[in-house]
Amino acid sequence: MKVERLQQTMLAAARKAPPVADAPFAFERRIMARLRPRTDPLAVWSAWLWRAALSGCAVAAVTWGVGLSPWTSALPEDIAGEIEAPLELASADLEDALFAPADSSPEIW
Amino acid sequence: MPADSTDSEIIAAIRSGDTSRFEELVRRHQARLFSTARRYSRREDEVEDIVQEVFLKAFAKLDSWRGEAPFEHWLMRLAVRTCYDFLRSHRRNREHSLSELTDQETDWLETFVAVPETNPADADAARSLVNRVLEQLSPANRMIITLLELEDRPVKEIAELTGWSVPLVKVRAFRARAEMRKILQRMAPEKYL
Repeated sequence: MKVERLQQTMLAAARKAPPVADAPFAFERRIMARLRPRTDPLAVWSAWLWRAALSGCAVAAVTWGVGLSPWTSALPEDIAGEIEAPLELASADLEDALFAPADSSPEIW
Repeated sequence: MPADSTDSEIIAAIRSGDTSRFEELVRRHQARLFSTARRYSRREDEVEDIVQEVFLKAFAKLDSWRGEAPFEHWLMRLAVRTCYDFLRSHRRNREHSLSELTDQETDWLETFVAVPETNPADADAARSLVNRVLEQLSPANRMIITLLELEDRPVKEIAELTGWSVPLVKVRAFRARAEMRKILQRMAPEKYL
């Protein structure tokens, strides 16, 4: 019985002392700062790497496209020859570079 | 921006893209939320974390507020549920003894023993004692005692705030009071009871 009275008295007294309602200084600004989108350094790096990789592909595609374009093939023969000669040389160089290991190895049959 | 805008007007502005107006809502309701959160934690850093979480949730779920009930009620529901989650995830060492009581708390009990019919004057000591008891209750029981006995809210309102049914609130209130009495008996030595 005394416990019940103690409980009631304690609760009644505690009701009279509600907790303080003060907020810390500039708390609302802290909340607003949390709501702003944050930049993740890893995401920024990855975005730039993707851009670099895609722009490399784009440059390669444009170069390839220019090489095959009808405009290049429609050039006068003397100019076309000048353009095609380095292209042929370049393709020969590429072929040499690719097959170099095979060429240097002794032929075993 | 007008200083006397209603909550609905501010929320409409936020929904139409002016998110900076949320600061006004925070300023307007933070005192009430701090007062509520301080009922569930004595550590100020935890109180700030709770209130911050409530506001971040409120911002994220702002579209779900339909204006049928006052914004403050909707926010309080969020606050109470966040406090409950906090209690469940921060169950501390629930062992206390009277040897840990402060002089103020001991004086309060001594006064109660001397004159049980009158309320001892020191309300802070009583609140501190109640907090000691509440910290040993289960999260649901602590929530019920806080809302029902300390905030003096009606059962129906507690049901709305917590999302529990009215009968469940009543059952939990009964159990919570019983658990509280057991803790008091364990905490308080014979000379007080």
